[in-house]
Amino acid sequence: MAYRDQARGEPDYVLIMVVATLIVLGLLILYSASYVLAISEGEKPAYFFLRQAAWTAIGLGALYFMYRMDLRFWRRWAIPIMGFTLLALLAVLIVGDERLGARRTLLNGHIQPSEMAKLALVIYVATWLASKGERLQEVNYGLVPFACLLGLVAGLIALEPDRSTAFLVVVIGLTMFFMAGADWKQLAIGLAGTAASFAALLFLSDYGKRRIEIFSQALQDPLAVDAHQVREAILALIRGGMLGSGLGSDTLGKQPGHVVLPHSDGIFAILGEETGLIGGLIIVALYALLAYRGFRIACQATDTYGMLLATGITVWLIAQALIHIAVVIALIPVTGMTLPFISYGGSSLVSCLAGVGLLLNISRGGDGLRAEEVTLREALDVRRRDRGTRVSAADRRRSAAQRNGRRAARRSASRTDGAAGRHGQGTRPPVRR
Amino acid sequence: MLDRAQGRPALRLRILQIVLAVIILILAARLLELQALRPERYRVSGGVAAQDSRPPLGTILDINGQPLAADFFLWKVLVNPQAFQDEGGRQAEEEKQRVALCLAEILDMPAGEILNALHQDGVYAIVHSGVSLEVAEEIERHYQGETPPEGDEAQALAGCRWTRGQVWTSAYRRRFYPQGEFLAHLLGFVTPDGDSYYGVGEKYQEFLRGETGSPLRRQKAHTLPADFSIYLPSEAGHDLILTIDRGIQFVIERALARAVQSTGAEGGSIIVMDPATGAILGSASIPEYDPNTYWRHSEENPAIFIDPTISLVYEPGSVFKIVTVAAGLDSGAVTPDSVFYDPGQLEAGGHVFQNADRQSHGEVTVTEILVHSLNVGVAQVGEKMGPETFYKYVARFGFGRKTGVDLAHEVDGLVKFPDSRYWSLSDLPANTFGQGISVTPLQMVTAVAAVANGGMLMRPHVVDMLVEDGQAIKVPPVAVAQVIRPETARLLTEMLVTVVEQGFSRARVEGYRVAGKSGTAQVPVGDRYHEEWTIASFAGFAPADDPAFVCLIKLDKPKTSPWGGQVAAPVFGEIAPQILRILQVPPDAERQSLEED
Repeated sequence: MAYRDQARGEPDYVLIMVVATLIVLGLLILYSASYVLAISEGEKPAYFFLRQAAWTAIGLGALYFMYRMDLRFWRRWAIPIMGFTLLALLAVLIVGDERLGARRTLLNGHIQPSEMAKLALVIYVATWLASKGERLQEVNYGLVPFACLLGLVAGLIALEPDRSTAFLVVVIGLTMFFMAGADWKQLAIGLAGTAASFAALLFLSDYGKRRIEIFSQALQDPLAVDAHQVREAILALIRGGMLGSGLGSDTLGKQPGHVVLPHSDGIFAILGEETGLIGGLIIVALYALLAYRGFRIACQATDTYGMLLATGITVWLIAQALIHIAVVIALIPVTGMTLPFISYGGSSLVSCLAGVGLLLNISRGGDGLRAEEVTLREALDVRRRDRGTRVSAADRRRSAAQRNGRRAARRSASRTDGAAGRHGQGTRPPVRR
Repeated sequence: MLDRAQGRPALRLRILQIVLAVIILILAARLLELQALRPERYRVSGGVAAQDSRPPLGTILDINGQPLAADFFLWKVLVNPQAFQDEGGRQAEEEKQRVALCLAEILDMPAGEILNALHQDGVYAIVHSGVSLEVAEEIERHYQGETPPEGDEAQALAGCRWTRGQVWTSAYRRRFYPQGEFLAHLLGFVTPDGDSYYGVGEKYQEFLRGETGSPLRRQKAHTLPADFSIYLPSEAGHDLILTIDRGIQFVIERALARAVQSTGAEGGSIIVMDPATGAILGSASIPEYDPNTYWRHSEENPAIFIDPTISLVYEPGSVFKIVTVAAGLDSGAVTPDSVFYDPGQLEAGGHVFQNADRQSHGEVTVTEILVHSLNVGVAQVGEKMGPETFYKYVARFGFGRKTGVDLAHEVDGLVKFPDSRYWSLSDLPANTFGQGISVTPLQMVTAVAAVANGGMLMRPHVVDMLVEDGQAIKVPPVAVAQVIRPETARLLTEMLVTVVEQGFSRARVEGYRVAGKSGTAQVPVGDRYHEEWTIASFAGFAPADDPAFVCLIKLDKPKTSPWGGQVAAPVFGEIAPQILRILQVPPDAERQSLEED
């Protein structure tokens, strides 16, 4: 029952800065993009902004919680979490609220389980893949059960229907599978299977076919498309030009009947209209930096589990952002995907921030696995942080290191030179084999 | 396991990073293309003023400042069928029916149609595609939180309430032609996207959009007269004032419609031009269309958009004898009194040419050749001067090439010159009386205008002034060439006066001396001429001593009579007095006495 703050390094401050910047900019952009919509729905102009601000506070709480919790906790609870998520996804299909022709939310539109499902899936898949070890190379232990699991989650989400989230979930899963050291042949089969099932999903439904048609039109001339959503978003970007009309200016895109869902699926179009190419590129650069730091954390993680978790979260955030932007600029078929940290939506914001908390947790190096379990109560107890710096903790660490042998300690240290230097520690805690 | 897993992730992570970097670069490139590299015209300034994606177009006025084409706003009425679901299925349905009934009352359309729109998928459906500002404002008044409308009529709608998320309006620009079919061919039409097609609209598209400045930048700008500032400057800031006079245009459109109807013609054209400047005062063609609703024709009959006066050619027939005689007189080959013997027929290049009446007229002067429109006689005039001289004048008068009028889609016409391999010996006599040569009505009237203008050929134009932000720049008349000497022009004018005085009583105008010539051209079908179809035309100008206008009347396939002298000349007699009145030209006697004083 102990904290290991001193044992572990500092969190990735660059990542913290990037996410903080995205949240602050995101709130500004959201306010600008949503006030017209709020008025038109008969609410106060700041309606969406204030709600998003409240969700940000909750999300930061979630972030802190994930940051503090021992990674081992998530490993232990991975199966119940996944089970709960699957139940929630099923519940949406059965008793969910229908909005815009799809059942995606619970409790009168307040909770969107598919957002939580991404985080749950990352945790579960990381746990599962890390536990497989070498046996991952065997088809019966690797590809087959993995495909079943991923297929189940993606299938449930696709039934809502929310094909884009299903797609994202598969992308995250496959990337983690890839990073876990999956056999190239299995990967190829997995990719082919995914491509085939999504192609079938798209081409076998009229809805999907229509979107493909619009998409091929849009690639040729985005302004000639007779799809309102695509056309308006492109027009908004073109109106924005290099510098945009200024954040908060009374732009056309957010007026009713123009950009569709200006506060969520269309927010990048509003961003482009008001902050121009410069603003758009800054946001893209922030996501790129986030991804870079995320992969760096994955690279420096001291065990497979942490590496896979970090990879999964990073791929989730960056892929979601890139899909959102690509939809707005008509590079991929239209789908509804929120822009992490910026689009309106509590479930999305909270789960993204929780994911970042987990990333930061991993970034501190060390390993939650070797440490003794931190209870839920302790994790939530902020004051315990100071108490965690007791001398006894260091003693315990030293004895633990001895237990694990010198060779392991040396290997670990040499692998993580950079991180070790940054922490000002000569040696790193050894890794359990 | 960890050793393997950690040795390889570095490589696998690198692959992942490269894939992501490539995707990010593609996205950035696309943003760059859309936001920085797009042509300027796609860029619309921010702010609510830019209510539509299409750029504003300048206003077009006639010479007296009357509007001919202008932008205005219409409002779309839209609903969001999904915005009625918050209170549960049943109530949403009732709500939709209530809103449909209210909107039906305001928009004056069946509630069923509105209800259909309210049951569509998606987040918006268009209920009405073009209502006026008043109706749009009426819809605004029913927003929750607005003061309810007052008055008896409003009482019925008192219960009508909706949010901006349920019902809203969206303004968009439309091109409006206040007089419908009036001057349609010359104005052209504008698509909802703001692209202009045909006529002066297409020709001046960039200017009217404000993309390019006036092509006449170095000319001195004037402040607009007060009469024009009712409509100018427009939002676009670039406007046109045409040389068209709405009064004259009205006169010729009415006369043309009557003539086409009374003669059973398939169609026709009338052009009125100021010979001194080349300014087109009026230009009418039938069949016509309404550019406000051009799309009704775009599928079944897109040819209706083509301006027959500049884009279609015809064989001018005897009107072309004006050119032949001008060439003969100017080259010195003949004088008005030169005598020819008309045997009734003439053989050239294996073809036999006859007079229209199939008779011999014996010894005739050149003037008589014109008066009686003798094909054989005029062919002899042509032979006398020779092909080289004749075609030199044909080219000088501007046939076989565009006049350079400032309208879109002008064509060259078709003249076979002797240096062409298609030219044969029989072409010379045929061409002298306007057969085997294809001209546009505008080329023909421009050539006649040169005779009326003392032999100086002017380039025709329809734009009188370009207006940039309230500053008007006059389009200067362009003299193309002195095609015949002034003396020749005077002689020829007198001969044409004789033609009207001796031939066409119905083309005469009381108090004014009129010069003119009729033409009756057969219509070539394949490599022969049709037995019945003709194009009957008349070209004339008045007053003969100081022409104020030149006019060409052309009727296609008239049924009551094939002859230009019988169907087209009377139209001239009908419209000329009205045009002279509009142009405020005093009768000859009065004018000459004024000049003597």
